[in-house]
Amino acid sequence: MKHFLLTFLAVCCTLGVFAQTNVTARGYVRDAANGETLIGATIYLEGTNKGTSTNEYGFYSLTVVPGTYTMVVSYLGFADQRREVELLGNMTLDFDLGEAGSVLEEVVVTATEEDRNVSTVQMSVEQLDMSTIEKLPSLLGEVDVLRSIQLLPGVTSVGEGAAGFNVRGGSIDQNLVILDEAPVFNSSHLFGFFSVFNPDAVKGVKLYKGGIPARYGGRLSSILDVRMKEGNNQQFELQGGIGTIFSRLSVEAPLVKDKSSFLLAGRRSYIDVLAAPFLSGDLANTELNFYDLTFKTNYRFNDRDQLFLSGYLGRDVFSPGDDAGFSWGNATGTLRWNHLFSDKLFANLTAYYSDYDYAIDFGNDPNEDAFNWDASIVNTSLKPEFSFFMSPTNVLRFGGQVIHYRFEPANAIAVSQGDRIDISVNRQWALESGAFVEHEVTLFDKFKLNYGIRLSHFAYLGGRNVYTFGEPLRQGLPRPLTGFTPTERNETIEDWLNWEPRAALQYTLSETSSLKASYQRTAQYIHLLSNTTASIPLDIWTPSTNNIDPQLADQFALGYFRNFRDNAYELSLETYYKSFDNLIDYIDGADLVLNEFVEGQVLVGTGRAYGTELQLKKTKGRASGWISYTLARTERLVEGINNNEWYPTRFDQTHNFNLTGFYELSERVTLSGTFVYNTGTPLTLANSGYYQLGYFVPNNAGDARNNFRIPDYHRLDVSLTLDPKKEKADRRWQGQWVFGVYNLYARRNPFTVYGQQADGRSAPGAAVNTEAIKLSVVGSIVPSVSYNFTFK
Amino acid sequence: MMRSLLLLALAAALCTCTDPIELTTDFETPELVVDAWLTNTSEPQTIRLTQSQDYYANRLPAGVTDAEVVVCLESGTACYPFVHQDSGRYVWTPQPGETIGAVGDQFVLGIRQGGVDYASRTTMNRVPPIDSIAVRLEEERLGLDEGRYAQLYARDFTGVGDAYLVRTTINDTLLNLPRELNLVYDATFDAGSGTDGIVFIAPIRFNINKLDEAGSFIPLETDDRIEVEIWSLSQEAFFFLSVARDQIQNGDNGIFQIPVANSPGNVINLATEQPALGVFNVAAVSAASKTVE
Repeated sequence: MKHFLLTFLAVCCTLGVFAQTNVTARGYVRDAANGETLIGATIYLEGTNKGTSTNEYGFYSLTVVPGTYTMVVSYLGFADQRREVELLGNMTLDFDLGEAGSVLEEVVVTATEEDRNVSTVQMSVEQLDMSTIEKLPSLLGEVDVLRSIQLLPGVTSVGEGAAGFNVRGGSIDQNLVILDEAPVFNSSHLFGFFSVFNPDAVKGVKLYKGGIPARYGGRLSSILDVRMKEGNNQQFELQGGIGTIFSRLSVEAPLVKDKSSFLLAGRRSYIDVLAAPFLSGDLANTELNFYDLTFKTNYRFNDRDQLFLSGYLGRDVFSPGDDAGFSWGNATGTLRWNHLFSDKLFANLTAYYSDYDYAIDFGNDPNEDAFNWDASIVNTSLKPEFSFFMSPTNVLRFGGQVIHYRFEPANAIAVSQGDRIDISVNRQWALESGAFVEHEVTLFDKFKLNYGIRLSHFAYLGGRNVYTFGEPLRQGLPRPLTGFTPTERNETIEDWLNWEPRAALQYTLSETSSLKASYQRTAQYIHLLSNTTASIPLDIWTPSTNNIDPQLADQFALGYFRNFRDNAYELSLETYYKSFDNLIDYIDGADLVLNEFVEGQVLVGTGRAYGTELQLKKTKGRASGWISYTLARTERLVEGINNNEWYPTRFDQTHNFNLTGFYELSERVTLSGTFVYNTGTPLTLANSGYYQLGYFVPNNAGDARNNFRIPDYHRLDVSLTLDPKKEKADRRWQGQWVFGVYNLYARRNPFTVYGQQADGRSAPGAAVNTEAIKLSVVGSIVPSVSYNFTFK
Repeated sequence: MMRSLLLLALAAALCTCTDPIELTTDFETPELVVDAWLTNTSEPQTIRLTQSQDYYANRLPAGVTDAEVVVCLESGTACYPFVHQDSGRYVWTPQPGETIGAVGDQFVLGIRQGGVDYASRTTMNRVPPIDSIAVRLEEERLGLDEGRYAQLYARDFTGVGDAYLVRTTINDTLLNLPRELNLVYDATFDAGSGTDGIVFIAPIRFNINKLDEAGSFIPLETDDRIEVEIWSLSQEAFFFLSVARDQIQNGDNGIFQIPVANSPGNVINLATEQPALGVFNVAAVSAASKTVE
C-alpha cells in the first residue's frame, strides 16, 4: 500500500510541475435549445491529440500549452461546434450546441466523439439517452428507464414484471440505483412493471457493470446513475402525455434567465378513476393508484458556483375498501453545490436524504380487530468530491462520503378483540463511510489508466438488543437464540474496514480499435432480505450485523472495442469473471418479515459469475439500433443448500439475445422494434410428495436447488412514432403519437412453473390430485396508444 | 394473506394467465413416511406408514405393512402397541375412557421397518378452551359475499411458544383445502412475531368458514353444523406444518412465490441420524360445535 501511494504521489507531483506554464480553458457545454448541460460531450483541439469530455455537471477543464487552437465540441445527436480560440491565458469558454439538422454557425461533420467507446478507459458501461429510451417499444406504451436497460448485454431479470434487475450475476440489491445521487431503494411502481422514473424529468442514465470507478461504492454489482434534467433555462416549456397507465405533465421554465430554472414533473395512474363507476358499496372506497412527483431547481451564482436542489416523491397505494390498505414509496431530496476552486479544480458537495417506506393496515375498527404495520429505511449522507484536471491526460479525483442509516423493520401493532399488542421489530442504526482517490492518466500515448482505491468503513451501531445464535440442531433448521445484550445508542457493536482497489486500463490498437481491462473490488454493507421469486415491496433491508458480514465481490473484465465505417458501427466484446463472498441465502421455510430473530435464518455462501457479452451498435443513418448477446453463468455455493454443491441462481440465463432497431420511414415516422430471446431461468420443483393429516405435502427429494429450467423466453415488440410535421415546427403546440404492440405474436412466456393441488376438495381418505402449472405474466398481445405533447 | 392482496391488485392490472402443463419429474426412490398425529381423545389412534410418491402420481400412497410400531410414555410407565390393520394403518384402541396421556407427558415413538430403527420424541402441549363459535351477519366486502359467517373465539395462553392447529368440519365435510389449513402460533400465523396471550387474531378466527374453489368464503345456511377442534402442537410439528402450509398455498403467490422447501420431519432414522418424512405429534384437543339457527 505504501509503495502504491508513493508512486501515485510521484506521478501526480511530476505532472503538476510541468503543468505550471500551461493555460486552462474551462466552461460548460449546454443544449442551446433549453440550456440543459450535456454530460459526456467531448472538447477536442483540432490537429492535436488533446481533448477531454464534460463531467456529470456538463463541466470541462482543458489545460494545454498557450497557442491558437480550433476547439471542436461534439455530442451525439447534436451538430458539432468549432471555434477558433487564442488560448494565451486562462479562459472561460461555454458552448451551446444545437441539435443536428438545425442551422447553426460553423456546423462541421467530425467524428471525434463517436469513438468514445474505443478511446475512453472506461469499459463495462452502458449509457442511454432519453431520446433513445423514448423510441423503444414499451409495455402499454409507458416509456421506462429500467426496462430499457434490460435490453443491454449483461443485464437480466428474473422475469417479466419482477422488480429490479440483475447485472453480471448480481442479485437485485447489489445495484445502487441513484437519482441525482440519492439512492432509490425500490425503483418500481406496481411491483415491478413500471419504473419510478418519470421520463420527462430524466436526462439520461448510465450503468456501470464493471470497472466501477473508486468514486462509487456501497454495492457489489452495478451503479445505475440516473440524472435529472435541470429544467429549461431559456423558455417556458410544458410537456405531457396521455398513456394507457399514466398521464404525465411536466413544466419547466427559467426563473432568472441563464441563471436559474426549475422543473416540476408529475405522473399518476388512473386505473382507479376509470374503475370507480363500476365499484359499489364498500368497494367504492377502493384506492388503486401510483404516482410520482419530481422536482429540480438550480441557481448559478456566478461562473464558479452553482446550486442544485432536486427531489422525488413517489407512492403506490392499494386499498380495496375500508378494511385493508397497503402503500409504499420512496422520497428523496438532494442538495448539490458545484464550486470551482480554480480553473482546474472542480468540486461538488452533495447532501441527500432518502427514505423508502411501506405501510399496511387491516381491520376497520382499530379498537376491536386491527393490524397496522409500517417499515422504512432512512438514510442521510454528505458527499464531497473533487476533480483536479491537471492536464488533458492527467485527472485526479478524490473525495469521501458518510451515510447514516436508520432501519425500521417493523413498527407494528396487532389488536385482537380489543387486546392490543406491540409486535414491532427493534430499529437498527449504522454509519457507512468511504474515502477515495482516483487517478486517470495517459501514458506513452497508447495507454490510458484509471486506477484508484476506495477505503470503506461500516459501523453497526447500538441502541437495541444484540443477539447471538448457536449452531442449528440439524442443517437447514433455524439457529437457536443463545443470548442477547442490550446496547447503548451510537455505541459501535461491530465494524468493518475494507480496501477496495479499482483499476481500468485501455490500450489503443489503432484509431478505431482498442483493448481494455479492468479489475474491481466492491464491498456491500446493507442487504435486502428477500426469498420470493420477484421481490415484494415488503422486503426489508438489514445492515451488516454481528451475525451478517458485509458482502464482497471481485471482478476482472477484458474487452475489445472496434468501430467501423467512420464510426457508424460500434463493436464491443467483453468477458468477465466475478467472485462473491458472504452472499446471503435462507433456510427452508425462512420467515423474513416481522421477525426479530431473522438473523438466525440467514445462511452465508459464496458465488461466481462469468460470461461474455457482445454488442454491435449502428449509430448513424436511417436505420440504427443494436444487437447484443450474452453467454453467461451465475452460481452460488451455500452450506445447507443443494447438498453443499454449486447451483445456478434463480436468474441465471445461459443465452440472452436482444435485437433493437429503429428505422426512420420518413421525417415524421419512426418504426422501432425489439426482439428478446433468453434461456429459461432455473427453479426448484417438488419432485415428490407424501400424505400428512390428509394433506399432500410437496417434497424435493434429493434436495437439488434450481435443477429445472422453465421454457425459453422470446418476445417481439414494435412501435410506430408519429412526430409533428416539419412545416409545423414553429408552432408552440407539438404533438406526437406512439402506437405500440407488446408481445406481437402473443406468446405466453412462462414466468414460472410450479406444482399445486388441483382444484376441488378431496374426500377424506381419497387421493389428493395435483397438477403442474405454467404462469405467464403477459398472456397475450398488448397494444397501446399514447399521445405526448410539448408546449413552448 | 399479504401476498394474495398483492396478487389481487396485480391481476386487476394485467391479464395474467395460468395454463396446466405436463411435467415429468426425476423422482425415483420412494421413502418411508410417518403420519403420526395422535390426540388425547379416547378414540382409536392411528399411525400411517406409507411411501412418498411422484408429485404428479395422483393416487393414494402405498402402505408400509411390515413394521413394528410402539408409542411409550418417556417415563416408562406405559407403552401402547400400534397394530397393523390394513394398507399401512397401525392402530391402538384405548379402553373406554382411556387416553394415551395427559398435557405435559413426554412420548417416544419407535418404529422398526426393513431392519432399520426410527425414533421420535414429543411432548403433549397445552391447548386453550374454545370460548365460543359465533355466527354473525357480515356485509359485502372484497372477496366476501354478504351472509352469515362463523368465528372461533379462543385465547392463547400467556407465555411465548404455544402452537395449535384448528380443524373444522362443516356438515361432515372436513375443511382440508390448502387455504383452509389453519395454524396458530401465539394467536397469530407464525413464530417470532411477538404476540402472546391474546384472542386468536381475526383472520384465524374467520378461517373456520368453508372456501369455494375460487378461494372465497361460503356463507353459512340455517341448520349448518360447525364442529371445531383445536389441537396443540409441538414446536417441531408447528414448524413442519407451517412450511407445508406455505408450500401448498404457494401457487396462489404468482410471481411472488417462495422457493420450494422441504418440511423438516422429527422422526429420526437411528442408523443415518437423518429425519424420515413426516411428523410424530401428540395433541391435546379442545372442541366445540354449533348449529346455525
